[in-house]
Amino acid sequence: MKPITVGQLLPSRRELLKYGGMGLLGASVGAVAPLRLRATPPTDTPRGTALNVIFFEISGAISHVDSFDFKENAATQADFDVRKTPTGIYLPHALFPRIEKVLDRVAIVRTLQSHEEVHLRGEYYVQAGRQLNIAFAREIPSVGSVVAAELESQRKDSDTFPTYVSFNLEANQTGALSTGFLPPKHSVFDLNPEAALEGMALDQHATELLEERWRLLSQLRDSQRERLQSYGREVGAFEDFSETGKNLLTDERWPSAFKLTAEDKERYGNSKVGVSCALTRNLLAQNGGTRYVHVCHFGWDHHKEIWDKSKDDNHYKLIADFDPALASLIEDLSTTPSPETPGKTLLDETLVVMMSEFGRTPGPLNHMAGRDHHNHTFPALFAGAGIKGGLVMGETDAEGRFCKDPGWAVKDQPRIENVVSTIYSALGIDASKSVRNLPSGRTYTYVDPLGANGYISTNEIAELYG
Amino acid sequence: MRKATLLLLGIAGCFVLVAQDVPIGSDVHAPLFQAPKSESIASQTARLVPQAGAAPSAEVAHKNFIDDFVFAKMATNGVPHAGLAYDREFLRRIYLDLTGRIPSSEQVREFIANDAADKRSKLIDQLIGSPEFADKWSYFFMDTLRINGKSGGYQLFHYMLKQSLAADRPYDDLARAMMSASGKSNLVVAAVNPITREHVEGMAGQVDHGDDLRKVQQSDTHDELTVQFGKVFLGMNLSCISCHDGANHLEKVNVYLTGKKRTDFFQQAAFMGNTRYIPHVERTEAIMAHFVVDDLAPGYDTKAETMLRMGRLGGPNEPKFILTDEIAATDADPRDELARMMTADLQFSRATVNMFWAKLMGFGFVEPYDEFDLARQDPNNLPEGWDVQPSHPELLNELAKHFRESNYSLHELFRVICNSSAYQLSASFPGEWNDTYTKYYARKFARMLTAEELHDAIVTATGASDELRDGSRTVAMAMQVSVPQNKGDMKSFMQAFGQNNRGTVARPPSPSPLQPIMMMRSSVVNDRVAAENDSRLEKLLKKHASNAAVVEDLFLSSIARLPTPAEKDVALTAMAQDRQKGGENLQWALLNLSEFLYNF
Repeated sequence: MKPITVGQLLPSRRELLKYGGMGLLGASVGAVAPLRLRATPPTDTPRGTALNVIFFEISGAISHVDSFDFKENAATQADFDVRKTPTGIYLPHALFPRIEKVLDRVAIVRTLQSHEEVHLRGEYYVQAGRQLNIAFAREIPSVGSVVAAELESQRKDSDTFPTYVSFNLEANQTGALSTGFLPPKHSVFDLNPEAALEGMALDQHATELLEERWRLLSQLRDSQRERLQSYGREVGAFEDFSETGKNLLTDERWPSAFKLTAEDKERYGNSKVGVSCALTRNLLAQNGGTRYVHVCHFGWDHHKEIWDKSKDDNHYKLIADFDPALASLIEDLSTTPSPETPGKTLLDETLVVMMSEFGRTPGPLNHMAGRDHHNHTFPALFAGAGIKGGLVMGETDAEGRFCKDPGWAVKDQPRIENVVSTIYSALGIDASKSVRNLPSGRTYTYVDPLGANGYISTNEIAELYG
Repeated sequence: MRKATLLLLGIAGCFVLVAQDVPIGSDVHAPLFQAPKSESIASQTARLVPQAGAAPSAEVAHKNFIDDFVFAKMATNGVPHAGLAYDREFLRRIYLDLTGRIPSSEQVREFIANDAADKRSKLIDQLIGSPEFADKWSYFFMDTLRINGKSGGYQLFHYMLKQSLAADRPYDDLARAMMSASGKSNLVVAAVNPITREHVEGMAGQVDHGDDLRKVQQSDTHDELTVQFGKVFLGMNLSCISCHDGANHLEKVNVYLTGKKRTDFFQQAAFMGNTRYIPHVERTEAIMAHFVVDDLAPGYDTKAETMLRMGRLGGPNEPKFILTDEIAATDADPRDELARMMTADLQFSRATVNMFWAKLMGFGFVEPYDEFDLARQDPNNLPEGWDVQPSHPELLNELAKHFRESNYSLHELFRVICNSSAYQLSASFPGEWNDTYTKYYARKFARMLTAEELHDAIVTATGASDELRDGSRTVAMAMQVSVPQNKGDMKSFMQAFGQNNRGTVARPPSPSPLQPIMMMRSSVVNDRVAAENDSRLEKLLKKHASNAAVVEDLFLSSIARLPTPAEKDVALTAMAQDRQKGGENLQWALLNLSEFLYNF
């Protein structure tokens, strides 16, 4: 896959005005300075092994020592039934019966570090690929929006689906980030999975009604078009989007993607996150132009009663939703033929990343029988697009509190920036690109070597490919 | 000149009513000093076609000092501008801008029928200070101050804001209260809530005894509040120098802040240094979002550990105001001193008027409105290589002084802006638009309704109201809640249209394909267009045997104008076969028009 040039990413001035409306760039009226590019050659050649990315965010943070960096501890529950998996790690069999079976397709990085300790900032870090700087947050896009902008030139005429779709992203503390300096057309298309099942899966009656109403609306718009022109371009932009939206709703692939069988729902675990994962599979299988899906599984912040089965909300319950959802997704991706490349599966061409914003405190539970925030080490899972299944990278100490050995050629603990570099590389995007002359005068680098805590490596985690 | 204009406005208003075949909505660029009565409809229609070449510049009356500055600048630079907005255009705009609501069909008819020359300013007076005005602008302040559940007393604070806005409490007084309030409980003392909102969570864990200060990162909270107060009350972004000196960082961004050091920030934060943010504890557990705020701490610790920033490396901790270097009086409460210095400085007034000007005019003299570079305000004294930052530096100062001289009256600020011809220009520009005209405010800029305005406009237009829970209250309008707690479909809808989650930074509202999809598919729209549950359409169908009457009222209540003959044909044809289904389709189509979704 050939990486596109940086120039293709930039919105034209016309686009800025058209889509920017009175937004960020439109507002710096009269002073819309041209964005400039740094034209340095890429340091690493991006891999380009993936057509799609699924980013699964465990929002609120899963307890790593009870899951993907398992450590026997004072609070290890008797019913965990911890077993050694075929890939050599230990995992509570009772909690992850399904994921255990797909671990041979999953690589685990055990010693990620974050620099954030509160959810809002941690979740921002995950979504933006950089730490929150309130001074410039307004012009910072999410990773998904950067991907949407980069892949814009690869969209086919028949593509009606939005490039960047998310599920329940609005449910976490950060909410869905804006497109920052990028034009709004690259914005996330955030869906509430259950509402989407209702709202997007139009039956024949709903489609006919929409067509009938659309005809009436078009007649009214036609009679006004000339008059509205004198009101400025941004007003017309809405009608363009309206057209895009209508084409999407009436492209039969879109409503098809929102149909789930009872058997599907059952297998994915009859939960919000289960529906999100099943819909993710459908969206990619329909091949309508969606390339980056962010699934947000929220509610993991169990400072209290983390293993108390008498409570409605605890890790048992969330893991029971998580396990079938994610395992079914990986299973299905690995059996669904790629709509693009004969002989390949969707998983062969889709990079799946799963992580929290940080970990939870190891050792004994706190005074509220819960676990608090812990950013010194926590794991991330990767699958698909050439990732070596079964690989385990890095090692933590006996308690799971600190990193013992990152197992990484860079000789440091990987950061969220390196996860983002891995994503960009897989998609064939040069992570070292920068865009100069943002409205604040700053330069935006896709993966910034100057983190909030000094210079950091921006390498991808190459070891994942074996 | 003023009198003549008003008279002609009156004539234009009458004309719309008497000439039956001309809809209120026909957008004719009739120059103000040419009696429209003498024109044929055909020639008016011809004026819809944008003229190539020379752009016309209809002369408008100077209503107050704002116009003197705005129009003089355009005249000097030969920039043409739009004519005055028509009554129906003005009417919907002023309702939306001041109250966040759209006018009802009755209000439209009444205003158009009114011949009084001063009807616009009368309406402005009527809307400013109305309960709906208080709803909209208290919501704005709740957004600006990011008030959410983390401030346990958010409903109390919301109530205080509404009272203050209705009564026109002097804004400097309100600002001082928000900066200097202390209290044994933020559930009792309203003004302390913006302070408790910004608390930075510290160490989690058990409370050993009584109030545990460690549960809040005290010094980080001082810093957060200092950044927040700078942003809201001075229009300045102190965030950068809260981590590092301005030098070697901000040269290309902000000349003034380039000269400031992190120690200057510390000394600004030192005004908060005595303040303590104490989680209220019952038995051994801190009660969520319930705080005590007092001023018994020993002072700002310039070496305190931090969870959010680079390590603090020490320095003086004597409170010193960043704008003037004034030192806090030793016998006074430092926060009282901070509140006094902040509000007494003209920059407080400049930042305030710039913010509200931006809200009413589309963008500020300084834009973004909270990114002032104080080294670039005086056109006669500029750093080398830089332009003056505000588009209208003199007007910005005059408006700030006017605000101060009117005892910081927000009502008067809204009144003077909304009464100006600059505000009342049409959004429709006759002729070729040039982007360089923008910063002259050569037209009114159409803006998309906010999520809350849009929801409420749908409710008003369709007459199908909702019951929104807000604590123990039930309200009908999204603009009336203290903290959004939407669920399901409404949540998806509000978020697609950019509702602020009051967490990080507000998303700029910008069009996306998700928005029209919400308008086409969301139950927020589709349930309401049905002729059932006492909706407007259901009532209209019962009341009028004539479809034409139904069509007219639907147009008026949705987009504040009557249909053009062509639109009327389309609408009547739609209703001819099945008047209920046709009416529902028409209501749906009206809500999906740009004219509905935008404020012109």
